[in-house]
Amino acid sequence: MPVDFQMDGPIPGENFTSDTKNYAWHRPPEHTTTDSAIEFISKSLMREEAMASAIFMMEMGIDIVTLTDIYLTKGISEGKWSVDLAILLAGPVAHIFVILAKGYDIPVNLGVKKNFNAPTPAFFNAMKKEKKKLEKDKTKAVREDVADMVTNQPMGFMAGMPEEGPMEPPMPEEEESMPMEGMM
Amino acid sequence: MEFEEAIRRSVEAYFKGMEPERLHKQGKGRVKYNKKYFDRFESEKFSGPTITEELEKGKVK
Repeated sequence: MPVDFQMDGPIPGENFTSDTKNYAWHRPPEHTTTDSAIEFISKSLMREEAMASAIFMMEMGIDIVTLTDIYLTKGISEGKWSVDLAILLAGPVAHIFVILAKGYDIPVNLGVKKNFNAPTPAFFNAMKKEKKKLEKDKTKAVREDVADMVTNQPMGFMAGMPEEGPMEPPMPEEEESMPMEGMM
Repeated sequence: MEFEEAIRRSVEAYFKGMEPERLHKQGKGRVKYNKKYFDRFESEKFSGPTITEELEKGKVK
């Protein structure tokens, strides 16, 4: 017998019975003005780990708008600012990311113009051809290298011997006692 | 509207001159970190055109 789940919905007013301070975004945000939020953002972005990850993502080709979106969404989830303030902060935060990118000589990709081009079958065919060509070139280059190695190798059983006479056995080096004090 | 789209539009508006300071009639002169501040900082730190100038010329998208 099919069970009707329509009766499982919340009772009107049920939201008022739950604890509203369970999540950070249920409480008043930490920053309510753009200035205090920007001060916090610039300080947090100057931390080594935050800066390194931002630079890495920009270097990988992620645009500034996406980075800004990630950063501001994280701030909302941590209760740093409200959604409305996040939208106001988007511009200044994007500008900070631009300055950061310029400081590290990363080409700026703002991402304001949405230009997503879905790959077509022609694109995939061209990629396959290019891959095959690359593999062919690679194997050809390896073969040439091996051929060079074989032709340039000196012939004869004495070829491997050094020119400065017979080799002497290595003298045993005197073992110096390592001072272990101060290592730990 | 999705949040990402809102952020994209906000960034676009900011670089076109519609910054937070100008969205409130009493906000003028009260915001310390406005676009002028960041533009000045950028031009002092780096030689060459600022991102706003590059956007105007269509060099950055």
